[in-house]
Amino acid sequence: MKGLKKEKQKQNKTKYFSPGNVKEAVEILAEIGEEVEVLAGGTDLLVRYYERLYDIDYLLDLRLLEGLEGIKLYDDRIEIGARATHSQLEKSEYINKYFPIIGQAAANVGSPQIRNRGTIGGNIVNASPAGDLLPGMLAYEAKFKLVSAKEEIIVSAEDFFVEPGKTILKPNQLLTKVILPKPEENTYSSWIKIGMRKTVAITTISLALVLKLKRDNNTIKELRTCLGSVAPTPLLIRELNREIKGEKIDQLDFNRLGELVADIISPIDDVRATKEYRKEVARNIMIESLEKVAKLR
Amino acid sequence: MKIKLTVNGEEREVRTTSETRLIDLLRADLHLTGAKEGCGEGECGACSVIMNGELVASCLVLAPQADGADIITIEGVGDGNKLDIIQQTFIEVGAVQCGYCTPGMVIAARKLLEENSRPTEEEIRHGLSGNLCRCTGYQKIIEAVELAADRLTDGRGSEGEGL
Amino acid sequence: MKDYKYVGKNIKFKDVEERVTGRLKYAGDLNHSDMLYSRVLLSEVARGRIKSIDSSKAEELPGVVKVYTYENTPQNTFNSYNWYRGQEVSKDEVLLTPYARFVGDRVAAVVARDKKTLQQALDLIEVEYEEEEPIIDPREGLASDDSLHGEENPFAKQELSCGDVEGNFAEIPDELIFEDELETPKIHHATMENHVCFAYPKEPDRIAIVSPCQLLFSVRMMVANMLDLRFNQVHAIKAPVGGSFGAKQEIFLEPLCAFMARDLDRPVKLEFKRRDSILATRTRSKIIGKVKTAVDKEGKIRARDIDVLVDAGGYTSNGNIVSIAMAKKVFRLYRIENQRYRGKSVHTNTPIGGACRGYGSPQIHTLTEINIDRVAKRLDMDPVDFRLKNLIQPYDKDPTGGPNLGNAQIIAALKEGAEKFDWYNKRNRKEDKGRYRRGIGVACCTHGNGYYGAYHDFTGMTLRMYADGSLLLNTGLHELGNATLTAIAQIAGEVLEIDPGEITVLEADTDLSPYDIGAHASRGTYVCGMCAFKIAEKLKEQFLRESAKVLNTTADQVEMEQGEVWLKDAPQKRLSYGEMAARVQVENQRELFTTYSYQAQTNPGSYGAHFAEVEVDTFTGLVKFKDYVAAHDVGKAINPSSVEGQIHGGVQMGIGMALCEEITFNDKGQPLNTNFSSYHLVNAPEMPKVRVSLIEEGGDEGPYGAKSIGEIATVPVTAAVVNAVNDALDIKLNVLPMTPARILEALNEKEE
Ligand SMILES: Cc1cc2nc3c(=O)[nH]c(=O)nc-3n(C[C@H](O)[C@H](O)[C@H](O)COP(=O)(O)OP(=O)(O)OC[C@H]3O[C@@H](n4cnc5c(N)ncnc54)[C@H](O)[C@@H]3O)c2cc1C
Ligand code: FES
Ligand code: FES
Repeated sequence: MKGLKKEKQKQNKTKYFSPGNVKEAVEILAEIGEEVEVLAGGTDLLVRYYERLYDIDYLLDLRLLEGLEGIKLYDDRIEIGARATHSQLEKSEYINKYFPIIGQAAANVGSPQIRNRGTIGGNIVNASPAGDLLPGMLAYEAKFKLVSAKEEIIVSAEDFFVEPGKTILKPNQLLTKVILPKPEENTYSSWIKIGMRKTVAITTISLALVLKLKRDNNTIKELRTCLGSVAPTPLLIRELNREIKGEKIDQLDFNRLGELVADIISPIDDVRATKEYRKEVARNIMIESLEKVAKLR
Repeated sequence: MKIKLTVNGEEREVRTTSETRLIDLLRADLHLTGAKEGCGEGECGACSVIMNGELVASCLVLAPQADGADIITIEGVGDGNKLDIIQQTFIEVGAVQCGYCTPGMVIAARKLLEENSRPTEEEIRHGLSGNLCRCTGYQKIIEAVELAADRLTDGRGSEGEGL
Repeated sequence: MKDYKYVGKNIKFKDVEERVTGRLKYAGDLNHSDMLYSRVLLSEVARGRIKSIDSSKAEELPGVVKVYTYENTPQNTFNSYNWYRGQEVSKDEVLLTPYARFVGDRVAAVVARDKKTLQQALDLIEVEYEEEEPIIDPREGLASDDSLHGEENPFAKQELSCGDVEGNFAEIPDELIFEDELETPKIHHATMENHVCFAYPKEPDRIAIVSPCQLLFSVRMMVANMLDLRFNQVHAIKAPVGGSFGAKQEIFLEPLCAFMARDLDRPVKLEFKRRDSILATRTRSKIIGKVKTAVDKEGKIRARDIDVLVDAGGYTSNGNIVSIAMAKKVFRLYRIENQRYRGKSVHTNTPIGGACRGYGSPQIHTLTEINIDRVAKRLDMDPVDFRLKNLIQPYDKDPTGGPNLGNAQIIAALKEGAEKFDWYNKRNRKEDKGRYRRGIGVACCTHGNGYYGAYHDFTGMTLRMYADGSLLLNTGLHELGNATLTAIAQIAGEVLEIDPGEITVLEADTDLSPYDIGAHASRGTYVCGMCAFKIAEKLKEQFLRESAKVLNTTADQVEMEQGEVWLKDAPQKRLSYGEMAARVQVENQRELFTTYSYQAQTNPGSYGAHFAEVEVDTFTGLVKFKDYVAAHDVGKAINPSSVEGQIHGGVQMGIGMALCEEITFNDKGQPLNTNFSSYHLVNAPEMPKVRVSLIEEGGDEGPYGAKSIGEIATVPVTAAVVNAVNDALDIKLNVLPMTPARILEALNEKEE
């Protein structure tokens, strides 16, 4: 926490804003820029600033911001407002129907207390390697809408994460929406999270897998595999797709793919587990995920 | 800044700052010390309160975020001298030891039963996953919630306050 | 067994309504007008002398009243484990240190007018250290000969033995000698209430200190010692305890808080945050142990040799005594004629070891009970049968000359537990081959009942019956949440034939209550409960005598029951206790009132056997419980529901030690997990349902035959769980906790 220490004594109290619309919000961001901390559910921010709230100069609270709430269904996509909470995702009919693993991941974030406050926007912008919604975002090819006073842009989840806690989001931008393209027919998915406990556990390793099959419901069109907590950012393993594209799921050697995943990743040791553990479990959960999706067919 | 909120059915206006958390506001400004700080980081649930109908950790809510909110704390459970059914069953089965986790547990249990009047043991365990207890091994707490569910669903709630 | 009216009944916990409504005021909930707040700055380096400490910026911060460092606090040394006057302890700690011996050592304290300023002020204190190379691994401590306190490392050695160990080992062939090693973790007590205390000046020239503690009279002594006051200048008041487990039996915050309050002449509340509690209170001592067991072909244990290295952390505290406590346990569970325990205690630059539920007993039993299991398996014997062959019998002698074991019902507990658990059938289950593997484990244990045999152990009480028949029992006891006061009321109520709800039991207040040595050593029910029993008998005698006087007869003509008293031959004419007590006052001109001081005479063993069934996921190394049985020889359960509650909680802690709890450090001594996000407790979804069996055979001196349960409940858990995991995977785990990574690693090693 040393980084948060103030060298000089802070004189002013935190300035607090809770604008009612996006326009006002991004204007505040444009004006004050980097020193603003955006506050959504606060479950990451308040932990980061635990006992050191004095260190925040400006707070931009999204609580009243219109247009950031809700989960909306369109013909070709679902749009999730950045302020949607894990509890809302977990209970959403649309999410569970089209993106079941986002619902599953949300349902296992922290505890009821955390899920009721923590938001999808916070999870994404916080960019923890262990963020549980992130692998699913990459696996489902999500796009994020970023808004600043100057412009609105759409970026793909794959390009968003830079390093732990760091994304391409600029200080003058707000994440307003997550856009998930509706999956084609014959798409199957699996989510596995391994922590030190079944519940309220930071992910030791996780895997989101989305399998798209051709019309025959057997030939692999695309396999999107994304792991959490094995690299500085959620890790999409593109090599796998190249390796098996066109093969048939019922003839696939799951073990070989498991080994491949274990070979490709280079995780680190931390307080939760060793790199060897992560490699071994990556292999095992890859196999398990493939078995799961094969069964869903 | 000034915020307005309803706490246990009573409207309150409090002068506060954006460096104040809801738990501090409750404990220091409103002298409602039932919610405890066990960790300050959302992990222990001792500070649990109900905010706008949802279970939250009051250590992870800033005071201004509670502006206009409806808050129920342990002090608002039951009615004056009457205990509510969950409090009664906590006492009956012996679910209380040091008592430090108890206010948070009672609040979490109440929310759990509001959402699911007949939870399985597994569902109770998950519903209380955000509340740590070092004394009871959770077993009697779970029994108390099961018993409260029984009472509430078979209508024997009349002895005490309902939820 | 006799059916009692109140003893053995699930009487409602005294003051439970206060707890369940959130009305109970813990020390942290107290507010005084004029109150100041304080927090402590902890060292950021594991070892180093302070070169400079600059608090000027902090002092300039609006709201800050004063900053304390070693430069403006008393530098007399103390030992936080010092609990009575005249105790020989090595004093090596000071209130605020000029030389940091671990990350978490107390370096400075800030006092401010409001809470919110505290952290900012702490952040503004600039400390420069002359950093030195820390000792993190206790083995390094042994090898280096470098003590942190200018003396030898190890700073203490212990030995206890019986029979001829070496001679017997020489006779037994190598294939019948089995050796195991084990490393246990440094564990955080994790009381949900962090450490806190509150001091305020009292006229004339006195100081009051409110503390959620286990040894209030020792708090008074330590505050007096450190502040150079007489005992009667200190008024210590016990606050409700939000969990203690030994964490609140050592005294290091109260003197500092009292000093600041006196210095500023203002009330001061000193509070810890979770990180402070993890680093700067006390921990369960880490041990590294070796055990060697020699058996004969029939499966009788011939000799055992145990070596233990205790990691005391940065200061001595009770790093020596906890090893002696461990030594004593190993002679009181199995009949082993030739046995030796040797211990060494070392200092390391890590948080201080101290008392923690079971006081060494969980660590030593984990070491020996894993070994016992492995001996049985290597002899191809059932682990339960092997134990049955070797366990002690009721009223065995302690071979080292310690107190008699008393009516030790471990065999009954083991048999009953095995039956309840369906041990033999579970053992005959087919071995799993797939991803999920089941295993079962058992462990036995013993623990004490008070200090008799080691230290003085006594307590005093006064009991009065008021003129309305209600009673007040004034004690020096400490309610820790385990229903001690309720049990005391049940015991007194049983003797006096009155509802325990009619008896108010006061806990310790050094100005008002009789002296008690404190809530430690599993003495609450066995020793203090016995005092309640005796004093109730005395008052009963007095009541009968005085009633006889009122009724113009002799005491043997008077009967009392259920709150009523009458003449034997006029049972239809009954007076309530209150009516009689009032007449005693008016007619006999005296109060029904008595005082009693009770000394413990015996110290039998409490016993327990735990059984765990687990399922290990070989894909992830995660462990799930399928069943858990705990059988305990408690003599007599005064309040069965709270006895069960103690057991459930004990199992939660023991599982933590087995599977997930450990304060870890990097090689610089920086702790890696100082919050509940990275230091995991077992939460509700992880906990098994614990099925409890109580063996209630009485036979010892305690009230109604009762013996201790609070500490022993956690003693065998870890070993039972480790044995179950070892059984499931056919592996041998030597380092605890068995994290998923360690489990998979052991599995891989086996396969290679
Ligand atoms: C006890 C506990 C358990 C947890 N368990 C899990 C878990 O299992 N899995 C998991 O993934 N996470 C977990 N978390 C972390 C956290 O709850 C989630 O990451 C949550 O989704 C964060 O959302 P929030 O709204 O609370 O974020 P906040 O704390 O409000 O914000 C987080 C960051 O994102 C920024 N931000 C938020 N919204 C926007 C926006 N719309 N535009 C721009 N910037 C924004 C903020 O400025 C801040 O830097 C846990 C946290 C706690 C305390
Ligand atoms: S204090 Fe809020 S969750 Fe622990
Ligand atoms: S009763 Fe003590 S923490 Fe739950």
